[in-house]
Order: sequence, then structure tokens, then C-alpha cells
Amino acid sequence: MTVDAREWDADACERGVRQLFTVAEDLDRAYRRLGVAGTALADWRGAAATVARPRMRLATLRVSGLAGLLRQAADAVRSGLGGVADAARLAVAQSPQEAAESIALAVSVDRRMASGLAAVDSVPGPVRLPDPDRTPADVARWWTALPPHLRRRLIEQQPAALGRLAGLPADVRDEANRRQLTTLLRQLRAERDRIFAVVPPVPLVLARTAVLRSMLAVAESVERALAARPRARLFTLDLDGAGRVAIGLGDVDQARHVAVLVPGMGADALHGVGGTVDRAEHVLAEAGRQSAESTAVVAWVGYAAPSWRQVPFATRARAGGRLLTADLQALDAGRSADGGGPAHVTLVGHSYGSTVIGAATRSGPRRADDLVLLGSPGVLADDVGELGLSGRRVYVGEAPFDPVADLGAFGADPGDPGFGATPVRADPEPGLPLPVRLTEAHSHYFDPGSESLRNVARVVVGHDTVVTHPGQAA
Amino acid sequence: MPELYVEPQVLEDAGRSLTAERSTLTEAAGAVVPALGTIAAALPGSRTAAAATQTGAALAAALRSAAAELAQLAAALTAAARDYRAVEHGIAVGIERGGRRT
Repeated sequence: MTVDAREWDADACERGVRQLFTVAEDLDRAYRRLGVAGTALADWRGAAATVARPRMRLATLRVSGLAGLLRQAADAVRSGLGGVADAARLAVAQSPQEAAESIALAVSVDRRMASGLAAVDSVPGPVRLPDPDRTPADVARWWTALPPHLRRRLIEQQPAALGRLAGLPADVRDEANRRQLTTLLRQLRAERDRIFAVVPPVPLVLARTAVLRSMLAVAESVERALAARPRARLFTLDLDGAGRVAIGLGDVDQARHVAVLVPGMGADALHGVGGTVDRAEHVLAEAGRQSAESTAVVAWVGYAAPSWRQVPFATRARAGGRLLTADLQALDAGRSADGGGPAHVTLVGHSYGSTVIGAATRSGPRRADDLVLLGSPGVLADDVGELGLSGRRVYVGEAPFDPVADLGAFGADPGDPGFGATPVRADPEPGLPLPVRLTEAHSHYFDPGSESLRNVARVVVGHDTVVTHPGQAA
Repeated sequence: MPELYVEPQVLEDAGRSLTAERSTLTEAAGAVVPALGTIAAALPGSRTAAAATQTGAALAAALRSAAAELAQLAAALTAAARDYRAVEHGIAVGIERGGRRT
């Protein structure tokens, strides 16, 4: 078949895709209401009930299955929308080379979408989690096509695996991770009680006690952070090794703007959860004051932040950068599940956290839209060009008297004019006593009422034209 | 004599829910074909257009069939509620008559 993309209409295609997702959501709601109706019949006994209840359950599951099929159909087409638009654009171009590219692209995207649609009415196999080598985008597609009753079953039966699965919506990971947190807290506390019942403690037990204490401390800090914020999303929970935690405030899956806060030295999972979530909360509140558009902020305590001994080296920044890149891809893919679109993403790095951002941005395929570097000792680059972003997308804040901000320990000093970033005012809040300003200048970038926080929020919500620059009045 | 362990009202409510969801499914069947039709029309000459038309028809048929199943179940539950009420009423009348005779 010869394909001519000149008359293809990607916008109309997208409208059809959106309609399908909307119908699937209607079926999701119908499935849930039927479940409620079925539950109301739980006490019905007798011969008629024995026949009617299973039939009703099957009918309910059928609705769930149809919701999954509709989403699968929508996703099969949506996955090709970019290709459709490109093929149509190239097809109307004049050059023979572009016309040839259009045909090749159109054939390839058409084949993929058509085979995706053809698979829609195939009988689904048993539910299996995607293989570990699947990309977050693959996982998002798998989840999109999964009927709601099977989603529920997986969340209830395999929360540990689901919570770690990159590519799922934040809401799903949150529910799975919260279940897992409850289980882990119960297990760790029980083990602690058992160990302390051993008298006298032997060395092996003491070694395990140290690990146990650390894991329990991380889990309890997450528990405290969530207890104070019931609507927070527990995006990442990993108690192994140094531990990894990411908590989103706001609707990470739907918000127009998403900021990811990357903390610096000392803010590993054991010590950094509470403080980083507090800072994320300040950014979210200030973003709400700056713009009516929806915003979410992720407190990303997702790497082994260095102590004083490790901080002179970039090793942990590079390792953290790889993890940050992976989590950004997961966040993107999770938003695409069930038909969502990409967000305007800002990475906000404090101190060594900005070095992590530099590592992620330099090497990762997913680049954020904007970067905010606060009190940065360097981002492993000598100028913004090495970050693959224009200087108008990279903002640098240095508080007066911050000794770390001028170190230039990891590449050039981002605050240096030659680096090419946009400098923003990063003063602490005016009421901060002078002795504190002089001695703790590195630690007040996120204080409520500070010009620094206001500028962070302005970038996060896309109001970058109103950021204030050094020397300019607030 | 059927064993009655459920209020007839509960069955009636469930029947009403099923009827409402039958409408949801019928509307979904009506919406799927135009949605996939939009996609087919947007990609003239493509395999995708043919697949979209075919998939739209298959999905609409499956939705209509599921809607019919819900309609049957709704009717059965409503009839069961009516029968249970009738039986209850008959028993009450019988007891009342027996009481008058003694």
C-alpha cells in the first residue's frame, strides 16, 4: 500500500484519541458504580442469589475489560501522533529528500498504529508485570491498556513491585508505596523488638541493628512527612543501601508545572526527607501565590547525598544524575499513561544538588525546561552550552556571603558572567538577623518571604520574565 | 418458598444502578464509532484508517452486548424484588387470617 501523508491531519487524530480516553473514563466510573451495586447484594442468600451474583460480577468485569480495550486503542493511535504530524509536514515540503522521508515515516508509523489497533480485540493473557528491561514508556502503555479491576488487583497484591515500576502514574505509585511503607514499618518494628529481646547482643546482631535502625529511621521520616500531608504522593520508596525517597506535593500527574527539588550535602534519605519536603512545601505555596496555574513540587531525596568527606568529589553527583534522569523519564511516562501530556518541568538544585542536576542535564536524554541553581559549587560544565540549554533557561541564585556559591569546585562558577546563565536575586527574607545572614547564608534560599523563594517560584510557574536580578529592587 | 435474606428495596436499587450503567454503555457504544471514525478520516489511505474502522465496529458491538447483559440483569433483579414483595405480602395475609381464626 502506498501511503500519502499530505492529507493526514494529526490534530483531528488527537481529537479522536481524546474522545476514546474520555469514553474509557466513563466506563471506569461505570465499573466502580457496578462494583458498589454488587457489594450491596452481598447479604442476599438463596438460589436466585447464587445465580445472579456471579453473573453480575462477570458483567462488571466485562465493563472493566472494555475500558482497558478502549484505552489500548487510544494509546495505539496516540503513540503515533508525533510521527503523523512529522510525516504530514514533510509530505508538503518541496524537496524530494523530504518527500521520501515522509513516505518512509508514514509507512512506518502507519504500520505501528494499525498493528496496535489490530491487537485491541485479542484476548488478554494472564497479568504479568513488564520485564525489567522495559522502558518507562513501555510500562506506561502496558498500564494504560490494563482494565481497572486488574490494576486494583496488582496494587493490592504486588505493591512492592508496582511502587518501583518506572512509568506508572504518580497516583498509582503512591498507593502502592504507601501500602509497602505500612508493611515495611510493621516488619522492621517487629524485627527491632525481636533483636532487642536478645540478651546479650552478639556482634552479628549488632551489625544488623545498625542497618535496621537506619531503614526504620528513613521509613519513619517518610511516615511523618506523609502524616502531615495526606495528599502528598509517595513517588519513590527504597530503603535499601543509602535509601531513595521522592515525595510529590500537588498533582504530579496532571499539574501544568512540575518542579523537582534536589537537595545537597547531608540530605540523603536518612537525614533529608523532612527538610526537603518542607522546602518543597514552601515552593508550592509561593507558586500558588505567583500563578493560578496548577503546580506540583517533588521533594527528590533520590540519591546518596554526600557527607563532608565525600563532598569534594563529583562521584555521587554523577551517580545521582543518572538516577535523576531515570526518575524524570519515569515521571514523564507516568503522566502519559491514560492520555496525559507533558509538564513544564523545572529542576531546582541547592548546593551539591545543583551539581547532580548538572550531571543529569549533561548526560541524560530528558532535559528539563528550566534549571534553577542555588548556592551552586558548579554543575560539571564550563558554560550553559554544555548543559544543552540556552542561558535564558538556566537561572543562578547566589545569596550575599554564601561561601559555597563562589567555589566553582565542579566546573566553572555558574554565577560567573562567562558561564552564560541568568542571574536572579537570592536574598534571604529581610527579617533575618545580620549574624545569621553572615554565617548561614547558604541555608536560607527557600525561606518563606525571601526574594530567593519568590524567584524560584516565578521560574517554576513560567513567569520567568518577572524574576528579579541582582541589584534590582524586589 | 424462597429464602428471603435481602430487602427487596436493595434489589430494586441494584436494578436501577444496572439500568443506569446500561445507558452508559449504550452511549459509549455510540461514541466509540465516531471517535475511531475521526481517526480513520484523519488518515486517508492508511492501514490505520481501515483498522480504526474495524476496531470501532468491534468495540461498539462488544459494548452493546455488555449493555444488553446489564439490561437482562436489571430486569431480573427488579422482577426478583417484585416477587419477594408478593411472597412477603402473601405470608403476612396468611398470618393475619390465621390469627383471626384462633
